[in-house]
Amino acid sequence: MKDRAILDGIRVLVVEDDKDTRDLIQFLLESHGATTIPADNVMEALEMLRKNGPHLVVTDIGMPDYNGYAFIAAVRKQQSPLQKIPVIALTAYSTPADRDTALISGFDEYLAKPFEPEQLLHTIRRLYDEHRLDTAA
Amino acid sequence: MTATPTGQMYWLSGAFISAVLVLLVAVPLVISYQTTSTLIALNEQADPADELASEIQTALSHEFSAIIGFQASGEEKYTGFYQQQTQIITAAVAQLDRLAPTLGPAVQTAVKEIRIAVDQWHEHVRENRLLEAQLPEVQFRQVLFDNENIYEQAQQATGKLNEAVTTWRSQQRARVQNLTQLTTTLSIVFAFLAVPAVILVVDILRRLGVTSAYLESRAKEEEALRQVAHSLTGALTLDDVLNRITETAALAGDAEAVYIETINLKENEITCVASYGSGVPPIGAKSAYEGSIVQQVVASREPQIVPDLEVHRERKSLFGELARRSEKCAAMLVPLVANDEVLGALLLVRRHPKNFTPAEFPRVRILADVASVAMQRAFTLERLSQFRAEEHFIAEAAPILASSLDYQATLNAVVRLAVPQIADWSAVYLVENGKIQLAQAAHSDPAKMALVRRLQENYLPLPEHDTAVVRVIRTGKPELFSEVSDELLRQNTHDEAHLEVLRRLNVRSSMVVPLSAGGETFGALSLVSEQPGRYRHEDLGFAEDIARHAALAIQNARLYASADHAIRVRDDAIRARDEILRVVSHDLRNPVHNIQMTAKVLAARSVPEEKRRSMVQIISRAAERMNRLIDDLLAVARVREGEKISIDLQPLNPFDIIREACEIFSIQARMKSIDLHCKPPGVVPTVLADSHRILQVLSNLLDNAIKFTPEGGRITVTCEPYEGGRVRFAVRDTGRGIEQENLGKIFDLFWQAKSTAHMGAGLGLGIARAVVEQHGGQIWAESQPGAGTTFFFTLPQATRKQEPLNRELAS
Repeated sequence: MKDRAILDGIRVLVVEDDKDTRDLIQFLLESHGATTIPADNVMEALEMLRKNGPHLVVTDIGMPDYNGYAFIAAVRKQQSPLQKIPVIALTAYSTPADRDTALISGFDEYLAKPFEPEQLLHTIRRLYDEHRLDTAA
Repeated sequence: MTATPTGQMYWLSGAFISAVLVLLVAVPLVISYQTTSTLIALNEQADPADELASEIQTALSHEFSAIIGFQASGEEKYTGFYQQQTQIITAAVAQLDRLAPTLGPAVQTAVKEIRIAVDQWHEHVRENRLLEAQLPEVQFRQVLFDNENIYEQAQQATGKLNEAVTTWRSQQRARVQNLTQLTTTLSIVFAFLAVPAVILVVDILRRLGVTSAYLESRAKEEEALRQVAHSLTGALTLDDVLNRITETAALAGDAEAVYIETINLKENEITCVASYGSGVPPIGAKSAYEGSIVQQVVASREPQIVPDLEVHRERKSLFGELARRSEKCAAMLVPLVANDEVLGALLLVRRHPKNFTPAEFPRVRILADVASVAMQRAFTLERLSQFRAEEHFIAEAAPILASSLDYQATLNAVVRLAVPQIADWSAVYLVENGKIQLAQAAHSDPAKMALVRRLQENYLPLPEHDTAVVRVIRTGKPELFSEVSDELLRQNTHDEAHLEVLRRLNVRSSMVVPLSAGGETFGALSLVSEQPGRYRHEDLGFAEDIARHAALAIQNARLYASADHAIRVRDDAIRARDEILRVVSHDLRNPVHNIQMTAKVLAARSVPEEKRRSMVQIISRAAERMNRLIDDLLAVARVREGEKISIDLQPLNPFDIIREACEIFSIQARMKSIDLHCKPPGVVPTVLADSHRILQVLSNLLDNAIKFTPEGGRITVTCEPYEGGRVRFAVRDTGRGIEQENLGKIFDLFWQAKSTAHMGAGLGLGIARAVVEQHGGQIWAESQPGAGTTFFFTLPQATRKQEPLNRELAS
């Protein structure tokens, strides 16, 4: 049960319009100790962000209505400390240009689909720790 | 000058005066020289000769004494003394020898005799050894007396020399006296000569005075002409020059009337261009050049006098007109020729009894020369200024035309640059789709632009009409209308209203030149002036030049526009292809990712049974989705290649299709808490369709609807009979709607790929349209922003059995 501990106590907001993908990510994260909050669109995600105070956000980019870029722009305009919350982009747009666009837009990390489940878990852990150090300092 | 009698007189007078002056000065000089030289000869030669003669005489007597002394005493001192005297004699004779030639022949002979006598004497003394030994007294006496003759001869010779010198001296004196007399005589003669010389000089001076007065008057005349020339120089415009010429000619030529005719050889006509006084033809009046009196004058290059105009009354020319108008008048015609270029003629008219005489020719000719030069210069300047304007135009136009690749901008530049310098208005006509269009026009007066626009809208040249523009485009040859008459306007118009428009545009002079490139005439450029006669034959070349530049620019802009369009289309296609690939790869990655992740999760740990089942379903759905995407991709590829999507037409019950579609999407809708309602129709006719393809259309529409409808929304699918024997399908959602301006574009495959990529909308709508249209149906959307969207598509009814079941085969 070593794996389980990796995301122990971390609350993750999962923003994904495709229900199957969202379910999979939730299942993956929860089976490694995280608590997840699902959102199937950007408006809902912003609401959950304020309401449920997650430690971290994992979001898709290509979504109807408002996409992942709209979401990150909205997050970075929030009041501190919400503004600084680590956000990971998960997307099937995987060219270097897409990656650059994502990082410039304000995402902390970018994972191109398909990715290894461990990659997502370790990224979440790392960002969570870094952020905690930052806020503590 | 030397040829004239007056000139010869001057020459002779001059020679005479010179001769007198020379004689007056030279003769006394010569005489005085002669006198002086004679006196010098007397002083320097005659006197020494006399002295030398006496010296010799003295020395001879000393020698004689020395001989007697030696014989008497026998002393040696007498020998020395004798020798001393001999030396003196020798030296004196030598000196006389040198002097003798200048003293005349008598003296020379005398000197010669002296030398012989003296030598004989000295010889005699030596022979008898009179100075060597004392002779016995008797012997001595004998010798002495024997030789006395010889001694005497020597003495006499010197005497003779003295005489000769004296004679010469007296001769010279007489000569000097003669010369003095001559001088006196000459002085008297010269005094008489001087009188006519002085008279001559005075005459010459008088004549010179007359000449200078003449020259002065000539200078004054020339000055007057220079002033004429100057006043003509001041006048730069042709009209100004012509007016000044007529005024000056009237004053200087003492004429009642003056006019100028210019010659146009090309048109074989003479034109009255300037006039002064009464009875002259009006300015602008023309008549034929061939056979005219002006032609005669110009051919001879000499002025001609017509003593009585009456004779020419019957001439059908400008001159005849003058003759009819001017009774009892004389005329003089002077050719106007500058640098061998025949410009025309100057005509002066005098009322009888005054008349013209050939004596006036030189003066009139000078006036004509000055006038011709001024006219030629004015002509040249006029051409030059026009040329400069043209040059300027080309210089301005060329870069603008060359730089502009934009079609409209080019046309605009073409018409605008000709206005107002070259034309009051200008228009470009282009052949487009077999019709002649007035593509662009410009007018110097913005108020008249409205009239030009009326031409553009209502009176385009019709190919069946024989108008200038049509002809020029057809033949490719330029046309010039130097003077546009009302009749000519009428010929070029459709109706009275059209004519009225052209009248109001004040079309007075016009050129129409072809716009050609690569041997093909694709249009015409018309230049119009409100000034009658503005364009002449020689302007056509320039207009064609403009047209060449313009045609090239228009052609370039056309080519560029089409090339640009092609490039844009190609670039768009490439971009669209890239976007489609991007969208498809994205859409494929999502299900692939789901399958992969599910597999890993299932492999990594034990999963509760319920969870495991749902994961298997995820895999199944992902695979289904991938399958749909591959179908889409193939369809897109076909559409993009311009191919038809293969459809297998079968008679179908529309409701069966929508029910099947709803079943497929029921789970997806339920997962998003969307109420997917499949509404059964009343009676609906059978349609002729490919069930698989129509399902693809409905799937794409439903996929979209679910994606864009928030949770708790509602989607309704219906089908119903529709106008034109068709069945209309509808998918209505309660999503946020689509902006009005995008409704028409959403079915465009490329637009969709570009604009909705990040929304994950895929290519569904583009494919749906392709499929529906392949069935002979239509697809469209209606939307109220915020209140949802309805997608409609129609399919044809399958009414008759005999209708072909498979369109693909039929086509």
